[in-house]
This record gives sequence, structure tokens and C-alpha cells, in this order.
Amino acid sequence: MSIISEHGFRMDGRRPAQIRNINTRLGLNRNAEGSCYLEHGNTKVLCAVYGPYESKASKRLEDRCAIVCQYSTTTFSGLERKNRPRGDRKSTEISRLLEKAFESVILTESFPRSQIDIFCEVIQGDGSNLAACVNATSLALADAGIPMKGIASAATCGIVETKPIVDLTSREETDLLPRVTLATICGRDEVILVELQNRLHIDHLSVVMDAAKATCADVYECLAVVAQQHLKACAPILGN
Amino acid sequence: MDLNVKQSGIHSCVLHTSYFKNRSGKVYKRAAERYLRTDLPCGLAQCEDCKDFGTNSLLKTENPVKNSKVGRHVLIVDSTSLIRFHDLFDSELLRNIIVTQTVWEGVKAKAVPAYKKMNSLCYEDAKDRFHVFMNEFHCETFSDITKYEDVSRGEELLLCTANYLTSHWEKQNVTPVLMVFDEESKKRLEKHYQHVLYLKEYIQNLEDSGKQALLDQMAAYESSANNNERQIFEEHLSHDKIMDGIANGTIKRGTFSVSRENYREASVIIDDQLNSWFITGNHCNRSVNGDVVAVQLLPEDQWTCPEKKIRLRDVEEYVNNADDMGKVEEDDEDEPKAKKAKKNSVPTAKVVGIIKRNWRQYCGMLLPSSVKGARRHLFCPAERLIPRIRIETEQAEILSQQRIVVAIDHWPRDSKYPLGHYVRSIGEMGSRETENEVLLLEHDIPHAPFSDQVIDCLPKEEWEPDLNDNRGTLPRVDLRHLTICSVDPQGCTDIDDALHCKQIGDDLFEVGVHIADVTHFVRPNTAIDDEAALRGTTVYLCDRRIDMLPCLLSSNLCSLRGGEERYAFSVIWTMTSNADIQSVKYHKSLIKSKAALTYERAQEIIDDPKEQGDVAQGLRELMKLSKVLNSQRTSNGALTLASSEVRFDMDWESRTPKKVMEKQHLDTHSMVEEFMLLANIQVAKKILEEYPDCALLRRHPVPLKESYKPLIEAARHRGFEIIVESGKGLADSLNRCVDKKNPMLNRLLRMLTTRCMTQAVYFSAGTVPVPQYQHFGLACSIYTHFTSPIRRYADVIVHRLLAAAINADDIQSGLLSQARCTKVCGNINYRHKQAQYAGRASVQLNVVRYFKGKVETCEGFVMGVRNNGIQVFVPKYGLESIIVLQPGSGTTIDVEEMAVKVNGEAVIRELEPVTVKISVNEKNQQRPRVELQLIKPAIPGLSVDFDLSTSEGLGL
Repeated sequence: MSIISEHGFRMDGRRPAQIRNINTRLGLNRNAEGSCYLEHGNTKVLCAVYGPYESKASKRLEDRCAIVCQYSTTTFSGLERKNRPRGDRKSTEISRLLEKAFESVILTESFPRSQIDIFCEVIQGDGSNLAACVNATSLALADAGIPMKGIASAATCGIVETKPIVDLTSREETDLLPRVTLATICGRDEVILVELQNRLHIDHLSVVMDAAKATCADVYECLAVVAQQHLKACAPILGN
Repeated sequence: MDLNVKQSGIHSCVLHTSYFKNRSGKVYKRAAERYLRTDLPCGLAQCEDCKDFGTNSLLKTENPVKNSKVGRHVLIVDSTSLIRFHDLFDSELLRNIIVTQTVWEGVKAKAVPAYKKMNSLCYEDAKDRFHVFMNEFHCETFSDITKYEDVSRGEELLLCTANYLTSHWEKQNVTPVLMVFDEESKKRLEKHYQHVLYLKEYIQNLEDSGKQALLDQMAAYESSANNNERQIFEEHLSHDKIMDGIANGTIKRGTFSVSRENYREASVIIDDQLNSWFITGNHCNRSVNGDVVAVQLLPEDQWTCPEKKIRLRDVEEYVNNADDMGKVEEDDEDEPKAKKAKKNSVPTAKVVGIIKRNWRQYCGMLLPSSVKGARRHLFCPAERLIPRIRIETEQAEILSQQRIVVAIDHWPRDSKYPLGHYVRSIGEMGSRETENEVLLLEHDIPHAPFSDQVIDCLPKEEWEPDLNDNRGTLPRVDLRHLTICSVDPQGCTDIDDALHCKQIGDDLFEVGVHIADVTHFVRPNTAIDDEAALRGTTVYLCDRRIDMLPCLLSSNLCSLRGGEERYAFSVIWTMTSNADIQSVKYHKSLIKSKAALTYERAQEIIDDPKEQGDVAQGLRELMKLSKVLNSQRTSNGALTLASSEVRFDMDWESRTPKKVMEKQHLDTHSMVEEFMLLANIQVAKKILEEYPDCALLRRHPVPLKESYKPLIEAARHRGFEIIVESGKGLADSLNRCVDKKNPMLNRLLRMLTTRCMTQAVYFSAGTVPVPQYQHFGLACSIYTHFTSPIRRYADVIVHRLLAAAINADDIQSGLLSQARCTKVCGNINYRHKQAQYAGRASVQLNVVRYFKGKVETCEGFVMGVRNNGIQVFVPKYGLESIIVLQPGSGTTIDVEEMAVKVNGEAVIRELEPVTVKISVNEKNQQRPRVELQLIKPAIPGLSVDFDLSTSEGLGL
């Protein structure tokens, strides 16, 4: 099974540098300040944002607001049913990564001594889960009206025999394939998150990074459309 | 709200679910997306709508195919045609062909050779004749529901494509024609689509004179239709049954290999047990040498043992005087009877199914047919282990004088021979070019000229060495002041090693081995590197050399020629006169060889006391040290082995062999060899230490004690004892085997020893247990190849590893992957073996040419005694032949005592000298061959001989 066929297509009919279709719905969860349901093809993620509110004493920071994130997967998100959906090493790592990334996007100095909670739940995982969470979170934050430097967008990019492929599905995320997840702000050259899985040869790094940056810009285009449409839909409520 | 990048070419997305089983048998469901596209080209050059989407090459040529059935048309082929007739598509007559994605996947899953051919046609050789239409990704032709009940899924998708293209090309006035395999499928499809033709019909209606050759190629399939009641072979089991059998252990999977001495016998090397089962006669059940087969052990009372009888097809034909090869021979040969001597029986099995065919295309010739103008002929492959193949052709008259290529198509149960078809002709039989081409093709040696991409990787002609032209952090060292010289055979142009030795203190010497720095020029992941990795080794034939690297590198820039500045990779030791190594360093360097010597010249310099120059003194010191090294190695139990190889002195003008060169052994040979071994061992240690899981090493497995049996037996009959408990014991006992009356005895025994051993192989460290890293023949715990990067790819990898280990170069991608190393090893082991065989075959070819019109009487030796003949080896020409015993002449052969007896008295025993007359038998014009005739001792009935391929040697 080759990831890029002789004809230059991937197993699902995409070209190597194409992303999957993105589907979203904002404001599903009325209890939360902001929420977003996002699909990257078959990867489906739900994100809810609470806050900012006055933080607990233990988390309180005097000069800025604290970001607390929890990443989890449903028991039925993968091929096999998982018994412990949260709190394992991998989920914790992803939670910390998301916190770090969004600390640099949200204008945290605006809310000293307060806290923002982000909950990300993967409903169905079909590759590029972290990237989907970043994208869902940034839309949920936008839905909550939290001031940010811009909309963050993320993409996963791998390399197959010197050729980059983007937005990997779970079938493409094989054990040995080096994968980079990159997140930037507004598709510009401002990187807020990089994660590497498996070993990547140094010669391929620039290739992967360039492909990932370009893809982040593509994803940003889509997210911007979502944000604009949502804003238009909300216009009657807001009045102008 | 499906969002995606604008103009992504994606039309819509469908979901489809599939089920799959994991290793432990649990079933999972998986939902996957499929994106349907609008940006896929239809392939037609004139099509305006598709011209932006990619290369459209169909109907571009100004000479459209003329066919009396249809007008301007494009062919859509089905997968059966491609699988069965992939050779046909080489023909320029079949143009404007669409291969749909469904067909592509079908062929890929079912037939590997057809897939390879299709891939090279569509994407390399014949891009302008073929187009791959991605029907399963196209929004108009994708279909997941079944519309027609009476056709198969594959056919339905073809219909979908054809219908879409019909409407798509309406304006262009081009008809898509479905070309299917046979009439039946045509009948089925005709109901739903107007333009359906089957392959033969299409070719018959071509308006071109070349169609006859195509029809010939197709002919093989029609013959199998005749209803012959007599089934020769048992039916093969179904795939599922085989898999079940393998799972519960009643059936084993293994590789089928035919015996070199008896074509009716074979053995199957069982994959998971490393032992082999014996198979005889019709139990082989249509297996061809190299197939992966499913075998089942017979009940113990049916077990037999090898006949110990030489049976070659040529021999039997000769004896039976069977001249009518055109008909199926009524072979009433009784199955070799279950031997009375039950004690000797070995596990015997039968083939119950074929898991994977190892069929390729075979070179060979047509056997002469007695019936004039017959269509069916027998083809005799050059490779002796492959059975005759039945083919049909109208052109037998022309082809009978040519070497041709034939492919096997299938082997029905009622046929004694597999059925195949004619592919192409190589050229006139007997001409030097044709025979060389056959040799190269048969040994699967890539020998095409280097492609333009490879040539583009070469440095410019006016290349100048530059000390600062360095890739890694460790600088290149200037060694131009040293007195370095190289010692090679006469006429060698690819000099890859040079030596120096300098006294630097009291009883302290600096010794350097300098190897051509090939990796400076051959960078990884370039076309030149890929080509070298594919070729694996330089192949030496008697009259030709097939280089691994282009000439500019192999004979110029990398060759360490005398008096020229060259890049090198140096290993430099400090050692005492006892060859105790004090220190060792590795670095890249720039050297200037003072002299490129031949072995003979170097020997002269050393022996001549008048020579007192730097070169002479260096050589003498090297010689002294090498003697010390050699004695150290021998005391460790290194073996000295012998081979039957000879070299021809060629007349390069006419490229004919002039005379046989006696391989003279000079001290300078072993001098160079010792230092190369030392360098190899030293480098192996270094790279293993640095990269314990991916270093490329070379090992020579310790032979099993049982495999020494022929050697021990032979020696015992001569009154010697061979100790096989250890390498040291073996080496010592071989040294003791000296017979004053028969000075060749020792060499013959060493040759037999070589045959008892398996080949040395390359492997990646970490893939076998550490004790098995050892090199048995050289008696060292690890070994690799470092010293000939110009002609071996293994050395190129080792150079890269060493350079990376000492920071002289970057670590290139893939270098440190064990999986990749294992893959490279697999290829170079294969190429290395094929190159050796090709070299030997070339010698044999030239022996025949040499003896044309000559008769010579020579000394030979009996290498083996079989039930019906003796194997005779002629050392002078490295020739090994069988002299067959004519039945009913009063002469008997006793295999137990390994002796030929006349009237109960032993006349010849194994390993004894005999005198033979060598001549070329030209009775068969097609196949002149070297013939041996026994002159002394004269034995009634032992006169006819047959040429036997030399057995495998040991590559160090």
C-alpha cells in the first residue's frame, strides 16, 4: 500500500498537498462562552471554552490570565474501543501543547488574575487530531469573543520519500512516517506550535516546514470564511 | 458547508466503509473518505476541457491506427488482456490506449510481472501511447451501486468509463473502444455498449503488415483448448486450502529448486525450518525452479532417496536419439522406483500448489522440429534448470537460427511442458554480441548505457582537486608528500586502492591504505547513486566490463592513477615490525600516487637489490609486515581455498580468446590482500562500534558439519582425515593432505571444501545474533568491504558510514536505517552472485570459442562418481564435464566406494588423474559444446560427456 500512488494521488483521491474538506458549527454548547464543532474529513472534534473568570487561587497569575486545557478522546474515537479516554500520557502532552500554543495567541495581559478553560474532545479520530483541536479551539475562542492576535490554524504534514503530504488520515499515519504538526497565526509566518513525531532527516525539515506553513495558510482561509459567516449570522442580534 | 481551498479540483466527497481483520483475527470496521474530482484529464490531446489538467498524449501522433472495424478510436483495455498479454503491448502497433485505475489496481494485485511492464509502459517507455484514466476518482465515472446484473464489477466500471468518454468526446469525433480479452466477455459487454472488440479481433483487423508477429505471440493460449483426456499432473489445491494447511501444519511453504544433476529431482527448502524436502518426478507438479510452492510430506513408506544418477535433458535426447521434438514425447519413463535401500531414504514430499510463480522471460533457442512447417515448437531455455517451453510460431524458419526470448504463460495439467509465447529475438545465434547479450539477460545484469540523468551527476571534465572542497567538519588531509603507490593486475584501469609505508621511529612504522573517495562524487539520493545501488557491482566478462559507475569516475576521477592528484579515504596505522597496531586513524585525504605498478613489476622491484628508491623501500617494508600479518591470520585458522576459475588472455582486436592465463601467484598478491583485509576488518570494527544497529557488514556462516560429508568421504578414500570441528582444525588438516604422487590432490580437496560452504553475504548489523557476524573463511569475528568502492556498492555504503562516524561527511537521509540497509544488502547479495555466475558463464562461452577447430589432450581429475557417469574437471581450462557411462559395456560404477570398475576391478577412483581429449562437438550446429573424451585409462563405455555448469564458489 503506497501512500502516494504511481499516478500522484493519495488513497482517498487527494493530491499530496491537499487538505480534507472542513465542516464546522459554532455555538453548539450554550453553557459555554464559546464552542465549536469541527470536521477535517472524518476527524471530528468538539471544543468548548469557558471564561475568562476569576481563577482559583492555585492557578492565579498576577499579570495575565491562565489557560487551562483538557484534551480527551471519546472511548469510540479510534478503531478499537478505549477504556481510559483521558489522563493518559499522550492526552496530557497534547493538553500542555495546546495551552502553550494558545497562551501566545490570546492577549492574556487583558485578563490578569483570571482563567480560561478549554476543553477539546475528539469524537472521531482519523488523523491530524492535534491540528483539528487547534483549529476548533481557535474558532471556539473567536465564538467566545476572547481577544486574540489572530485566528490560529494548524496542519499536520508528513514526508514520504522526500515528497511532503499534508493533512494526514489515520491510514497514512503509519508508525515510521515522520510527521510535523505546525500551527501559525493568520497563516502568516508566526509559528505558535511545532510537534514532531518519529525521526526526520535534517535535509527534509525545510521541505516539511514549508509544506506545513503553506497548508496552515490554506486552513486559515477556510477558518476565516467560517468566522466571517458566523459574524454575519450574529449581526441581527448584535445590532449592526 | 464543505470548505476547502478554492479550485482544489474536488467535486464532492463520499464515504465508504470497509472491514478488515487484524493480526489476531479481530474484525474492524473502517470508514474512509473518497474525494471525487473534476480535474482529471481524459487523455485526448485535442480535448480543450482537459488540457489544463495534465499531460494528454493520446491521438497526438499524426499517423492514427487504421483498423477496418472502427474509425478514429481510443482503446480501453481490460485487466485480463494486460495480465495475459502484457508483452504484446510493447508493440508500436497498439497505440492510444487507456488504462483505467480499476484495471491498474486489478493488475497490480494479481500479477507482478504484468504490473511492472504496465508501469514502465505508462510512465517511462511508452508515455505517448498510454494514458491512465483515474476513473475511480472522477466525479462522472465513480459508481458505487451496481446497475447491470449480468456483468462483473470490473466490467461495469469499464462500461461507466466508456459511456462517459463517449459523451465527453462527442465533439472530437473519437470513439472509445472497449478492448477485452476474449469473445465471451465481448458478448456480455456488447449488450450494454456498442464498440466492443476482443484483442485478437482487433489485431486481425489492423491495417498494418506487422500484425502477424503479434498474432504469433498470442497463439500460445488457443492450444490449451484441445480436450486431452490424459491428465499428467495432479490438480493444485485452492489458495484457501493451502492457507488452511499451512496454518495447521500439514502443508509447508518453501522455495522449489531443481537439482543441477538430475532434472527430474528437486528439493524444496522449507521456509520456517531451514531444512529441505526431496521431490521427484511428477510430484514436482508443474513447479519451475525458484517458485514458492506449497508442499506436503508423503507417508514414510513412499520416501525415496536421490538416484545419484546424472540426468540432463541433452543426455537423454542423445541416448534416445529422439529427433522428433515437435510432438509430445510419450515418456513412459517409470517413476524412479522406491529404492530398496530404505535406510537411505530422505523426507520426500509432493507439491500441492504454487504460492508464487518465479516466471520471468527466458533466453534460449528453438529445438529443431522434424515436421516441416509445423506451428508448434519446443523452446530450450539457456538456463538448464528451466524446463522446455512449448510455443507456437509461424516464423520457425527464421527463428531457428536465432537466440530468442520466450515467456511462460501457463502450464495446464495435461501438458508435459509449460506453454509460452515468443517475445522477441536477440540476434543471430553464435555471434559474440548475441551470446553476450543472452548471458547478461539470463543473469539479470543491468547493462544499458548510463542514462542522461546519471551522466548529469558527473563533475565537469576539467575537474581539479581542491583540498578545501570538503563536506564534513573533519578536514581533508594533504598527503601528497607521501610515497604512495598502487599495485594492481596488468591493464587495470579502475585502481581503487593504494598503499604506503614509512618508518617513523625505532621499530615503528606508519602504514596507510588509501581508497578512492567515491562517495565524494556519488552523493546519496542522486540518479547516479540509484543506478549504482541497482547495479550493485561491476561485472567482469572475458571480453567486456559492465561498470557500476560511469567511465569518467571509474577509470579517471576516482581511479588512483600514478602521478595524479586524487581524493582518497585513508586508514593509517602505526605498527611495530611485529605488526602490533599501536594506533589507527581514519580521514579523507588528497594523495598523489608515485607509481601505479603491476603485481609483476612490484615483485621485480622488491627482488632487485639495485632498486633503492622510496618506492622500493616502502614496498619491502610492506612485504615484511604482510608476512607477519599473514602468519597471524593463518594461526587463527583462516582457510586457504581454491577455485576452478581461469582467465583468458583476449585478443582485443577481434575479441577472441588467445590463450588461457595461468593464475600465477606472487607474493605481492598476498601483500596487497593482507593490507586490504586489515583495512576491512579495522573499518568494520569502527562502524560497528559507532552504528551497532545499521552497519553494513559481511559474514560467512560456519558450515554445518553434515555439509562436509562429500569432502570427508573423498579424503577418507585417499587415506586422509579431515577435521571439521573448527576452522583451525579444518585448515590444518587440509594442509596435511599432500600426496607426492598427485600434487593436485591438495588443490582438489580445497575446491571440494569450497563447495561444502555457503556463500559469504552482506547484512546489516543487528539483524542476526552477534556470534553469527563472524567470517568463517577469514577467521575473524567481523568483516566488511571497504576497499573497492569503484566496483562494489557495499563499499560505497561503508564509506558513507565511516565518513559519518568520523564527521568527515553529513549523515545523509536513510543512511542509518536498518530497514534500508537490509534492502540494500538483499540487492547487492543478489547482484554479486549473479555477477559471479555471469563471469563463469562467460569463461565457458570462451572455452567453446577457444576450442573451435582445436583438439587438445589434457590432464583431468575425477571430481565425482555417480551411478551412470563420472564428473571430470580439467584444471587448465576450469572445465567441468560429465562423462556418461553407456549401458551394457561391462563397466560398473560403485558409488559406495566411489570407483569405476571394469570386471570388478577398480580402475578409476575419485580425485584420481585421468587424461582426456578436449574438442568442440559441432554436430549440433545450434549448440556447439566442449566435449571430453577419456583417453587414459581407457574404459569401455565411458566416452560420451556432457558439460555441467561449475558449482558455486565462495566469494570472499
